[in-house]
Amino acid sequence: MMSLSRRAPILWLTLRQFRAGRATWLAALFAATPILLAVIHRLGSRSVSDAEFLANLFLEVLAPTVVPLATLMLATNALGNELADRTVPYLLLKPIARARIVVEKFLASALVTSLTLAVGLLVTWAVASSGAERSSRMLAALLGGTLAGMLAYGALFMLISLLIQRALLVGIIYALIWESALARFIPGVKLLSIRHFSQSVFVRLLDDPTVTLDRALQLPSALAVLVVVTVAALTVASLLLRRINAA
Amino acid sequence: MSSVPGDAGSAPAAGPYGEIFDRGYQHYQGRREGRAHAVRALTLYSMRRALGVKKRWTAKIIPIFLYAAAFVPVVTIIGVRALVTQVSAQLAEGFNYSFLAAAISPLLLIYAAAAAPEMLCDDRRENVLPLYFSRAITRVDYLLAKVLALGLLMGSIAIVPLLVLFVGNTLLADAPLTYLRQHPGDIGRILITGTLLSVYYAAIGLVIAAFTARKGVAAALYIGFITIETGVVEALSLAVSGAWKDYLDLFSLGNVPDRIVQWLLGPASGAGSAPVGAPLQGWTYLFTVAAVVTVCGVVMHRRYLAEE
Repeated sequence: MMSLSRRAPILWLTLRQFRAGRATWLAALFAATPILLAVIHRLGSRSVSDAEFLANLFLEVLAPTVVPLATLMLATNALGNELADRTVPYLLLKPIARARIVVEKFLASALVTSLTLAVGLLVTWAVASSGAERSSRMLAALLGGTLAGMLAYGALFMLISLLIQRALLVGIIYALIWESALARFIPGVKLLSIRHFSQSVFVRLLDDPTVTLDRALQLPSALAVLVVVTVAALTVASLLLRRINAA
Repeated sequence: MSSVPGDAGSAPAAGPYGEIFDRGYQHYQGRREGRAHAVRALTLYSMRRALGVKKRWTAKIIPIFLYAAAFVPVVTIIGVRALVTQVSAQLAEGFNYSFLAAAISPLLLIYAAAAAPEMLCDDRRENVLPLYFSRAITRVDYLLAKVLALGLLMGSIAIVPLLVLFVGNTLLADAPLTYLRQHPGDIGRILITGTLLSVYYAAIGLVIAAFTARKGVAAALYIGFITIETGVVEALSLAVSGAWKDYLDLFSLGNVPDRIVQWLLGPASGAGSAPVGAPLQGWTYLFTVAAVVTVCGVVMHRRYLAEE
């Protein structure tokens, strides 16, 4: 523990901030809602198979709603709260490179979010599937798709939180309303949405002919998109942070 | 001895003790405006703050986006109908009150998510509530002003675009006066629908804002709660079977506004969601609205009675 607080002080600080705030609990609450749906599926009339249920769960609930909500909560808080509370100067006065502050903040929010989401998914998968139908491939696809969406949403909206004050609200409008409106009215623009990208990763990892997605990306190009989006967002964020004066 | 600092302050034994100085303080001689004025002022101030008046441009993005999204389509459609008479009847049929109201309903959700925290969160975070309550207004007055402010703001998006459409319909009709005589109930139905929707969304938004410190978190919680609750009800309706299954639709909070719109303004083509079971009578959803508003009112009142 001591070495973490020495080697990555901002990461350590952010983790402590997350532990103190209520936003972490809300993110965990959102990450836990699939469990409720899995329980309902288990106790219900079982009209769909377990694999079908899990695939639908990811494509229609996790990727469009749960992943963005849980991710945005912490990603916009990590730097946004420092701006809102006017504690950024104290952060910037430390002899730590701005880029490193951004990366460590991002790592902290990604760490906590992926942990809560992974626990939620693990329990969901264990509850919803039983016996022979319990496949580790499904679990890997669920985790992979979620992780991909989480990283892209997190990096992008940490950058947005540096630009505008209401980043969380804007992020939710973007994720829940804008992306579904785009998907409904302009199918081609879907290729630019994070949700579609995360769904593609899921479908490709699952590699099940019955689960299909319109215009799904190939796995290598999806990975390229992920890397480009994350690196670009973090770079611009550190450039923006560099322009803020410490004093 | 007189060089000791504390000595200078002590009064000489012979002089008068406790002299009153005239510092020029004056009693307030003007009119006393009273509670009603304070409530009006607070309402107006809350509305201006939610709209981002005199704030950074980033605070104005969401209100501008919402008003543009609510008004541009209806104005455009009326303009097209006025200029291109061939498509007028066809457009009038597709773009009716019900379609417009169902399209505006998600905007109301965003509006409540953005504006409700603006009403309540900062006052608690910055500890200015004691200042408010040391004035003429009571706690109930404070809440009333906030509810009124949010209600007026949301009404401006829930009702005014529909009224614009009504005026457009009237003026574009072949005989405007005859049109008015043939559609006497339209204005009433528009007002009732808009009011019910605004009050419903505002009540949930305010009660969530009353329990969160950060505005962003309150907004996320509000939208997340409505979305996930609706999803859970839909999943539940797929899983269970029984005669009471149809009534689950009363509890899907995200879909209730659509039902109210369909009941009062008629079915919309291609907008709104389908009920989870067999369709229920439209008026039954009034119970949901009434229950939600009552519970939210009571919870909020209790919360602010306990607030120091």
